[in-house]
Amino acid sequence: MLNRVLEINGRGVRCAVLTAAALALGLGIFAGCTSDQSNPVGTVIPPELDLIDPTLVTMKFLENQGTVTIVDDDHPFDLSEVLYLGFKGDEASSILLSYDFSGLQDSVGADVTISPSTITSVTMYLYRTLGYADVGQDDDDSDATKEIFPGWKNFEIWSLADTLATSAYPGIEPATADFITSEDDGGEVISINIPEGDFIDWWETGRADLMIRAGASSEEGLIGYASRDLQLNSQHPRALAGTTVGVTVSVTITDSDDIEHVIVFPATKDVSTFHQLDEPGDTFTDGFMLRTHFRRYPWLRFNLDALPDNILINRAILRCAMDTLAGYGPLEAAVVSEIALAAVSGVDTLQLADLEDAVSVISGQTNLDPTYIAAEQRPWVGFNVTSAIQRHVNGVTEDETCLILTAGEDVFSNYDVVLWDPEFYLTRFQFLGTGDPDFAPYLEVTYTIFSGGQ
Amino acid sequence: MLRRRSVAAVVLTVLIAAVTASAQNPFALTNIGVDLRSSDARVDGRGGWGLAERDTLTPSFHNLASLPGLTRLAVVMSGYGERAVAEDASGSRMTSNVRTPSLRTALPFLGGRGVATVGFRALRGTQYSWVEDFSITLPIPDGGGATEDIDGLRTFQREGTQFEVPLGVAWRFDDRLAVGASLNLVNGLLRERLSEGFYDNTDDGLLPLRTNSEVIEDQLNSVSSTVSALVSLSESLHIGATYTTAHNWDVTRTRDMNGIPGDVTIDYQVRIPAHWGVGAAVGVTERWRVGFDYESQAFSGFTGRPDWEGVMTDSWCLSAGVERLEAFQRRGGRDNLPLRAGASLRRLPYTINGQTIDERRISVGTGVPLRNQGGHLDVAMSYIMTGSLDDHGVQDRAWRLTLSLAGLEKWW
Repeated sequence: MLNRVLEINGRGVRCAVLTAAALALGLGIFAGCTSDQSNPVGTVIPPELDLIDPTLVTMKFLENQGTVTIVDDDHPFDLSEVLYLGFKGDEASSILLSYDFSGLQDSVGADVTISPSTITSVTMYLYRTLGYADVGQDDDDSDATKEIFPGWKNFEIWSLADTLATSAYPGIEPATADFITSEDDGGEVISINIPEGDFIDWWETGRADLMIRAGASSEEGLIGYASRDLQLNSQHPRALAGTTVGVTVSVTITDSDDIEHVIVFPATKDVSTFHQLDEPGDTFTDGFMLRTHFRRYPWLRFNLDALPDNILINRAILRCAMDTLAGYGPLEAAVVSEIALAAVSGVDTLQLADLEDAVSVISGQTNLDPTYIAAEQRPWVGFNVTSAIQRHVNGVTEDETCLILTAGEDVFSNYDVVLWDPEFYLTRFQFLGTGDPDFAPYLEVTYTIFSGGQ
Repeated sequence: MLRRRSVAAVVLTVLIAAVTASAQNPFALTNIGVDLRSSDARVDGRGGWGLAERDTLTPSFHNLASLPGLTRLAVVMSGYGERAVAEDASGSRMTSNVRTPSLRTALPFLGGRGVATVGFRALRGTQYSWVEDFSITLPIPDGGGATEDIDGLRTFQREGTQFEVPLGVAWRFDDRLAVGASLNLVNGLLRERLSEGFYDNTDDGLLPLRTNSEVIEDQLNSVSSTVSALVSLSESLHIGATYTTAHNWDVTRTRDMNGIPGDVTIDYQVRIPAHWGVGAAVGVTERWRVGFDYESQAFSGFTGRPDWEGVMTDSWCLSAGVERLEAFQRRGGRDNLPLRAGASLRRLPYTINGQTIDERRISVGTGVPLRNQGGHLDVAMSYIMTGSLDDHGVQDRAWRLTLSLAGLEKWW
């Protein structure tokens, strides 16, 4: 074919073919794949576009604030998986228990008789949950201090004057009838010896309504113990499948053949009293708190009038200073969300499902220690609220919004990293209030004005 | 036939694929950008002159009046690859890019005395980018007046092409005079994007600042008209001229900042001065000829952009060169090849640092015919020097390979 073409047209055509291929290759080389990456060459020619430098402002004035309690009908308070005993600051809780022995007298076994002559010992056991397992351990960081959860308490056992009604709690301690015993103990498993005679009375009357109170000689600290409703066995120090997990009464008896039998009686009802509990004020002048177990969450709305229109929020951080002396409890996530002001303002309680529907734009911090003081002794914690403030500036929603501080609820999947839900443990994040001259909460906003805005 | 198609396919594939470019030269960073006009490799190879061209074997669209005489439908595609090194005080940067600045067709009628033409031609380009480190200072919140420096990376990109779609006709009255006219639909885009990203070196390391990024985009459209003439004073002396009217660009400017809703749109108008050019070609011997073009556009009369008006200056270009015409002697070999060489000096329409900017170019070229003289493949190599470090703080030196393919086909 080539020869025929040459015969007709001479060398021109062959040259055309070869030249075209060579030039195509040449153009391919020029096609940009060998270009250097962009560098400063050319910056001597200023562009028409010139961005405005960012501006940083801090905003401290709260237009509105409050606290809302989240209610989860699946987890009422008297079905809490953890019971609290002790006191911390002005807050205190005792444990109320009810044992129902009626109908059990015939079921303990034909060869077993519970009587003063057969009982060897009666012991009440409390199991400290693992959220408090590391109490008493200093942080490795020598520059940091970590509150030491007191391990020792004086466990006072009282009988109640009336039958326990768990629905009354949290509330004031019930009236007591008789002091039964007290014992100093600490550690993972608390064992309290119960006088046999008292147990015989309970056995014969068929029930016992008791209160465990931290005696005056107890060390400060609210400690969580497994309740009868505990399902998160990973937080129980001894629980295996089928184990009785709450506060138990264990009775050891010796039968006529001198054989020992151990009978374990679980509580039929239990609840924490939280008879002393700090309630947040209407304003945040003296501080505000985020409290798990009760799901009490603060919300706050800053005055953003200082922000001009047509701006990009480069960064917005809600900074709150933690009162690490007033805070306590296991690690928990703290999450900031945007929520409609109408959903929380003037509202005491909010269903958990409604909270999940109402919040948007979340950020937060996981594994936040309410008692941790950083090495620099700076108690500030910051939350990224850039998107929320940008949405406000952009006028995305017509509804007024505010920021709500919550724990790591299931809806915040990125921050729900601990094994337990917020209703499980009691953690109190205490933040310093707007009246504090040095540590009032504030919004730190860095923004850039659109150079082409009008 | 297969070979001819192969040639065409290879060249067309490369040219069509070469629509975009990663970069041009730093002078594209400002004002209306850099001149992209390139009629074809034959014109480029002899320095850029072609207003007095009368050859219809390789039709030239440099002057529409040269098209009459065509006996076949002509399609001419031209593109170039460029390898440039730009320098300023910060260093140098090599860029490679390929462009297809011209695609033209011509359709003869009435035996070739008349020609209708349509096509596409790139006019100017604004493609370049740079990056640099930068730093801002922000107060530390509640820091008692203390500040912290935040470092970042600033990225600037300018892009866009101004192009026209000429719809034209040409007519030859006799062997001495031909004229042409076109209506040019001008469109284009000029876009600047400046971004400032911040490193995570803030005091608490909590969160880096979000990137600032703004865009200016000018969409332009206009209509201009061009008239041209070609006069043959003798067999060996031809003179050509062209004139494009002054016209207004209707520009819609959109400004946008990433992250905030809406944009800002304004309309404005700029006045582009008239462009004219004259050229001559003189046959020295049977195969050798010389030629020159001179073109001018009085950009000092540019209006509509106060920020540009102060730096505008009259633009002109002088190009000259020689050409050994192609021969078709049997077994002529290389002696049949056309040879071209030339040079040009072009003044850009704006100044930098108060200094005018010149573009100097030297070129050589050649070409080969396709079968049965059914077209032509031409190539030119140019070396282009633009600006100087001393005067403008930046300069660009580029090698350019221009490739054009002209196809001729009977259409009736």
